Amino acid sequence: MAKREYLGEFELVVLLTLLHLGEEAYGMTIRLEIEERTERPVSIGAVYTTLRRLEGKGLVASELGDPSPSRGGRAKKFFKLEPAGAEALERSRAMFDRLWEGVPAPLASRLD
Amino acid sequence: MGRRILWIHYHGAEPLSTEVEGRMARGGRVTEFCCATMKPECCHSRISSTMWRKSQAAPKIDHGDESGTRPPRLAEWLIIRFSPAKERDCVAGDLAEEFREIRLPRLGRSGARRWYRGQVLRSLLHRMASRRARSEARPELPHDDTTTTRVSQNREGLMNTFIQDIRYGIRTLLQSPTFSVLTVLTLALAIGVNTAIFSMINVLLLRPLPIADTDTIGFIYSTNPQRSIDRAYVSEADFLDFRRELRSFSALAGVGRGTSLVMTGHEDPVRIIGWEATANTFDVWGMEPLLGRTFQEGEDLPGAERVVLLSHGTWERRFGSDPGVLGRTLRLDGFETTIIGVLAPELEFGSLAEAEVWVPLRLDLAAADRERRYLWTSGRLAPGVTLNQAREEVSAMSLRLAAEYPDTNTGWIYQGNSMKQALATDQVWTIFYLLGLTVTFVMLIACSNVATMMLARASARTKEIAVRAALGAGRVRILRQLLTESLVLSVCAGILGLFVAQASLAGLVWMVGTNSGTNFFELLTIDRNVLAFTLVVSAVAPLLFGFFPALRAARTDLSETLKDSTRGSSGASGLRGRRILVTTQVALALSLMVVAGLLIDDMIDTRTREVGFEYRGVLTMRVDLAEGKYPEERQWAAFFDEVLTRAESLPAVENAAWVSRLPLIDGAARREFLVEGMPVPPPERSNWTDIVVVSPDYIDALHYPLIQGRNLTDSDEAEGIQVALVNQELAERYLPGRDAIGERIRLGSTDSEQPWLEVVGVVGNLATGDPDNPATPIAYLPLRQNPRQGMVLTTRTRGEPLEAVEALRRQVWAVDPEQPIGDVRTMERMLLDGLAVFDTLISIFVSFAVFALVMASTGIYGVISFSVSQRAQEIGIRMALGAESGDVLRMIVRQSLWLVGIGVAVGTVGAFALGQALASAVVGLNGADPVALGGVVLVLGLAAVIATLIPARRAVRIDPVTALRSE
Repeated sequence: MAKREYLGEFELVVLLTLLHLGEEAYGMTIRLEIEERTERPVSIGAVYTTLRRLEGKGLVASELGDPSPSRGGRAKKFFKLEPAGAEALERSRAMFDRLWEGVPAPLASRLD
Repeated sequence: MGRRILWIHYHGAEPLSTEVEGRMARGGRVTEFCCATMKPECCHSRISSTMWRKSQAAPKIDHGDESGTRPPRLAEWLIIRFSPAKERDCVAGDLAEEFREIRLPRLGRSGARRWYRGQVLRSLLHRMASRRARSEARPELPHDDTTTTRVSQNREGLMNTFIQDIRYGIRTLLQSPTFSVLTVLTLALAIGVNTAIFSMINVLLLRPLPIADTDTIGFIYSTNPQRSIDRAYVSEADFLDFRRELRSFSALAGVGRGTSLVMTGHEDPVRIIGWEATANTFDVWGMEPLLGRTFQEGEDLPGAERVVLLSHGTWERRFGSDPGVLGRTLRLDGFETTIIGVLAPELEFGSLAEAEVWVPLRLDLAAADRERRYLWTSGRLAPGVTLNQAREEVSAMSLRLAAEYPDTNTGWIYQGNSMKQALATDQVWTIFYLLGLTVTFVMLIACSNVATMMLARASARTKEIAVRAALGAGRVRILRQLLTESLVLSVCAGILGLFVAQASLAGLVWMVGTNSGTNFFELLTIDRNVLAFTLVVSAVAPLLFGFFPALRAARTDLSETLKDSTRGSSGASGLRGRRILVTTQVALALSLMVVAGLLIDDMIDTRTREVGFEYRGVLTMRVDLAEGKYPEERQWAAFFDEVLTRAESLPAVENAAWVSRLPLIDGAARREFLVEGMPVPPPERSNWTDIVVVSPDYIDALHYPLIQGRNLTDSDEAEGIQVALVNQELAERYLPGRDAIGERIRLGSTDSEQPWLEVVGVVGNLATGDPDNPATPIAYLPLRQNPRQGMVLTTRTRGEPLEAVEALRRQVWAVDPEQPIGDVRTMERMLLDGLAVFDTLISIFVSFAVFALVMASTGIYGVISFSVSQRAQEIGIRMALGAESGDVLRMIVRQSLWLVGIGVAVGTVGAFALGQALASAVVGLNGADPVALGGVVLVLGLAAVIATLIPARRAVRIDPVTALRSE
């Protein structure tokens, strides 16, 4: 049974993106999706580093795919969520739900 | 025929090898496989191949894209190189795919390329940051990826690793003491010498005058290219005009240099040097006095009460730092003068230090002279006025003055400028640049020597580094550690270098001596600027010499070095690096040696050439009559006459004569003149000559050749026909084709009131030492007809000149016991002293050249030695197969000559350039002297041969059997 650890913010982002992308999740698509959804620039290096770490923790799994000419003949690496990963996501969601519970929006009114 | 990259599609289970085999059968040549397995799931799936041109039938193969839509190559290389092995292909692929499919269409070519580079940069940075965080992460902390934790861990870790690196570095360096000591010494020498030169430059340029707010102060000086005068100052009348009319300056101050004043009324009568300054001088300069006050307005007008300011040094030395001096009176040149203040010690800087006291400059508006341009003029720029505007105004006014006063101002160009221009002529700047270049060369040579040593050391340390790498140190970490070692060496060298600098400066001061008036050498100290400079050099040096060796060492391939092979691929590239370094050293050394050679050549030339008169065996003694005591001209004449008679009566004296200015030593007094009967030349090309006032015996005393006519005699009385002697140059230039004897000339221009002078004789020229420059025209006027207030007694003595000093002094005092006597020196010493600074310069260049030669020779020795040890096996084989020792020797010497040859070729170009620069700065120097170049090449070649022969002999003595047996 894996140790219960916190998920870092970016790890969370990556896992959720994998969820959204499903079958289509490989390096480029993951990066594009994250960039689009978070509206922040993301480097491919950061994506891979995080994915490597997540794979090390057993939360994702990877698999080589086809090369293509536009990739200069290089293969794609597909990533998918492992059950452990899904569990981690659930725990994280529950935690944030608890924290966000009862917080009215917008926040500004709370700061007076 | 380019390299075309072929991509082979494969799907899942289809084995690759068949495809490849098929292609090979079709004639393609497969040159590279990423991994041996070639299995589909291996991520090294790219196959590249080289194809010849058309013959091969095109297989069912996709052709990769050509450069048009390729991602930027450098960036691609970087991301592949610095990504972890398992990922690199996929990352590159992802980037390439996005580049082609999305960014190119969206952003266009340059936009896409920019995006790509941005991605690579950010990825690499991210990778570095996360690796650091990982290596410093402490296990107790929850594995939290928030940035803040990472950053704080980074900061601590960085400092710790730095200290760790330093300690490790010191330990390693102590383990190889020879290397460390040699390196530190070499560097210390280079840094020390650099620092010394920088101090000089600092004093002269960066810290020239302690004038507050130097951005708002400008200087006005003049030149007269027509008369070959490239630095003069401002005449009194011009100064007053400038003051009245220039708007760009809110205040103008003038300083007249160095009058000799007789001070009495305080201890014994003594002659001191006083500088005259207009009343506003110290206000313009923003200088506050130490005690009392500076001049007030009006104190510089004739008739004002006489006041004096003491310099700080004088106050200390002569008045015992007594604060009660204020208000006291003393007599200067016979006049009652009140001490009103003491100046601050900062003012004793550069040539200003010469001033023992400062007195107001009395400018009589009515009698202001427009011809003698001696006022050193500075001014405060008006608020809002830039230096450029001031410059323009001064130039415009210069033209106006030349138009308004054509007699005195034609050909004179006034320039306004910053302190930098005012301080030194172009010639001086050229010397500075040359010096700067030389020290840079020296530094480069020293660094390359050290780099060579470090390269050698790096090869020796490959095992140690390989082990560290195996234990987990990343490349960057190893690089950092090696650079820290270099830094430690540099810092030690820097500290030592400061001592070297101090010693060099002390040596310089000693060499130049205190007589030569360049007292700025005494003011050279290590100050803040200099320390900063040393720091910078010490910090940059490790990068220069340490970076590449460290880089190479850090890149050692782990597996290769841990296998016990003595000749890894690192050997070859190490040798190449060292070869390049040595060639550079040879080139630099050659350049420096040529410069030194040219200078030595010039020095020998200067000392042995004919000057036009006999200066050996002549004693000089300056006598200036005090204005207060000798107000009238006939008193001057009487005084000098009597002293001369007495001097000539001495048995030790062969000839005695008075002269107004010493040849080649004193500056010239240049005047315009007209020739009777010849058309008046236009103002831009007026006749000019130097004027020297002499007593009749002068020509004989100094053995000037009398070419025509007669010498001046005592019968050329004050009331008689006014006569003059001219030198050959004047006769040839301005009286061409005529017999000069009997011609008449008149000083000044068309409405001058000077008397006509009859030329009675022609004497020989003074040599200028520059074959391109013609001699200076000189007219010699008899003293009795042209009385002067200050003259120099020149006596040719029987026997040693210095022995006659006392006797001569007594003769002067016999006429006037209170008359102070100025400089007494032999003419020979004065001429040599004038060269002293130059000699020092030469010594500097020569020492640098010698240093460079030694370094280059050791470099050659090192490389050849290394090469020999590398090739020991090969040499052994050759000898076993019958090669004679002569052949081996020849082989090695040929290798070395090749190196040296390239160095010499490159160095010659540099030497030529430096020679030309030097020639423009030093009169009479031949910049492209082939003899000097040839000599230098010879010396260098000799040194190289010696440096080569030592290891070469070792090569010859290699026993083939042992060489082959060893690994």
